[in-house]
Amino acid sequence: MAATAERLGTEFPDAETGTSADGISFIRVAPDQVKAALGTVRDTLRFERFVDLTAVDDPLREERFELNYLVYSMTEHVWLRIKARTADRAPSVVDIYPGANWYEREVWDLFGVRFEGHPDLTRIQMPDDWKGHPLRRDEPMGGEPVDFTVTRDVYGT
Amino acid sequence: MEMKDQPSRRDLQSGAYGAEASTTPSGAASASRDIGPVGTEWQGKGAITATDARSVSAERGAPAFGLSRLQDWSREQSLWPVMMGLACCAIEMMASSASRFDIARFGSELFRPSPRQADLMIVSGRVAQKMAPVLREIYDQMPDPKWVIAMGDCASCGGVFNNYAILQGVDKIVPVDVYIPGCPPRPEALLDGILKLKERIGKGQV
Repeated sequence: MAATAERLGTEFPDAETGTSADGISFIRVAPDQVKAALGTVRDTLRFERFVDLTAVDDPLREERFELNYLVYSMTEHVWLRIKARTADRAPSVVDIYPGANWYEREVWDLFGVRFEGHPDLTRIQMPDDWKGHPLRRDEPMGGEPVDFTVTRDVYGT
Repeated sequence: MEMKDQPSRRDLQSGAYGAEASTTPSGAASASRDIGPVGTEWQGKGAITATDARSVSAERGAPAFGLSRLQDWSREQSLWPVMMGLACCAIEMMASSASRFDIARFGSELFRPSPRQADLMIVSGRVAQKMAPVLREIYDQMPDPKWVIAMGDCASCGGVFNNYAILQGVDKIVPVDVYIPGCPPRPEALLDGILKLKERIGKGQV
């Protein structure tokens, strides 16, 4: 675990490293270094399995989306999280981990992060003609107003 | 609360889907019909008449037949649901069809994988905006006469999912005959809903 972070720290000296609350090491790199970082962990550190890609939206930040790539080494039994902050775009890693294909479509669909080089970057969960990206924090909640007494202050009903 | 502009929902409510996006008109057609207790009344009164040539679903465009009391009685006996489970309510629906609750006692044990062979659509769960056109297409593929049960809070009104993703009540896209509250409803509640629907079908009210 520590060796992994150390190895990545030498390859990406500018990157911030640490440990998440769940005990998984992370390294935060620039968006244009994501492909290099994932290529390194796959080929030399034996993180064979791409587990998850998601994003966190903080609209107060300039680079509002923080991408979280979660990978797992089935040889070493080690998890690793690679983070990258971006305003609206990131390189696609489908050519490194083919399993990232649908995850990148999902992040594009729900957050609006455009993955350059993705083979088919279309919506995957919302209807094809949907407008907007619903998991952005500034996106309206949708639904219908409900007239409960406890919600009258909230909805102004 | 500010409403989001959602083209897909608007399309569902207008246009092709708008024509039937209300609950079933039950009063107009059935008000003039005098139909007694099901299964006994029609036998002695010469109920097999061509003059009563009004189908229970004539409003929906089905060809009108005579023999409507016999039709009502026979349709009531075997409501075949379409095999469509959407969410956790579907687990209760499956439990209803298993031996403990045994939906077969009421003639509805045949869940048909093909909507062409089904009379009844049990909307068992929340319907996502993306699922709504699919559900409507399944409904359109069912032959007349057909009935819809909105099982559970989500199918009835959206339930706890008051957000962008979930259709706020399946009656926005298909006409619903029976609403069953509960989250999810117990199998007894589903059976009660089916019995209510059977009763109304037998009386020619839906």
